[in-house]
Amino acid sequence: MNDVEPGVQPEPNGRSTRRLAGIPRWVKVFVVVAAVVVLLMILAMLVTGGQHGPGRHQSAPWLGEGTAASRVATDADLRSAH
Amino acid sequence: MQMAPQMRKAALALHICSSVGWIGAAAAYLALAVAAQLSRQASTVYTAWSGMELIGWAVIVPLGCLAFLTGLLMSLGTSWGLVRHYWVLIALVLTTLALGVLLLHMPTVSQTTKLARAMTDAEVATLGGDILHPAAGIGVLVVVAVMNIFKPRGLTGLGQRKRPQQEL
Repeated sequence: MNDVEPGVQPEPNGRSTRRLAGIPRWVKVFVVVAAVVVLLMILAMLVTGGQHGPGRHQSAPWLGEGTAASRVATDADLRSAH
Repeated sequence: MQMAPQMRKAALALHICSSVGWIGAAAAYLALAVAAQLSRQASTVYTAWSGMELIGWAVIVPLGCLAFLTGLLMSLGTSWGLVRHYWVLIALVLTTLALGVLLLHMPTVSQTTKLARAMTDAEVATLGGDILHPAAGIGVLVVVAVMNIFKPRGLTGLGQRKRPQQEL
């Protein structure tokens, strides 16, 4: 990661950094793109009816309804009950 | 606290190896996930899930933890700091997110593999794969790797306030 110390690279405009600068444009673009990607993923899951989210990982025994593994668990439970 | 140059290079080497290894292992996991998704043969699907569980716990989780810890060490042990530069901060958030999802998701993989043993061949054949997690994970890790290489400029408010003190 850090093969160069930050002090080695001067600021591109050569100005003093003592005056607080705003958030760089690339950070703003990055945050917007990340938000769009997350929204698209949520939208895709809603459209396709997929079940996902943190709750899926927390429910005992780790499985939520509608997942492949939960269908397996249900089938296995039904077989063992008979 | 600043690390000595030799110590810093050793930590950097460990960080690069573990980070790149994490991406490679995730790619291997993805290949197995695709095989499980596309195949209709029970033996192939079951073997793929077994492989995903093994690679996940034995390779991906250790490499992910090592990459995360060495990243923390590199940040705190150099003048980059943890929250002074936007790229370091974003890399930290993304890596934490990726590792968190990985640790939460792996028990599900183990459970699926365990349950698959109790299934009939027909059920195993329709089990499907686990493409979303490794694909998204690789995307996030590649973004972090690119950010580590380019190191885009930009100091956070904390970084800007601390910098004059360091220069005195």
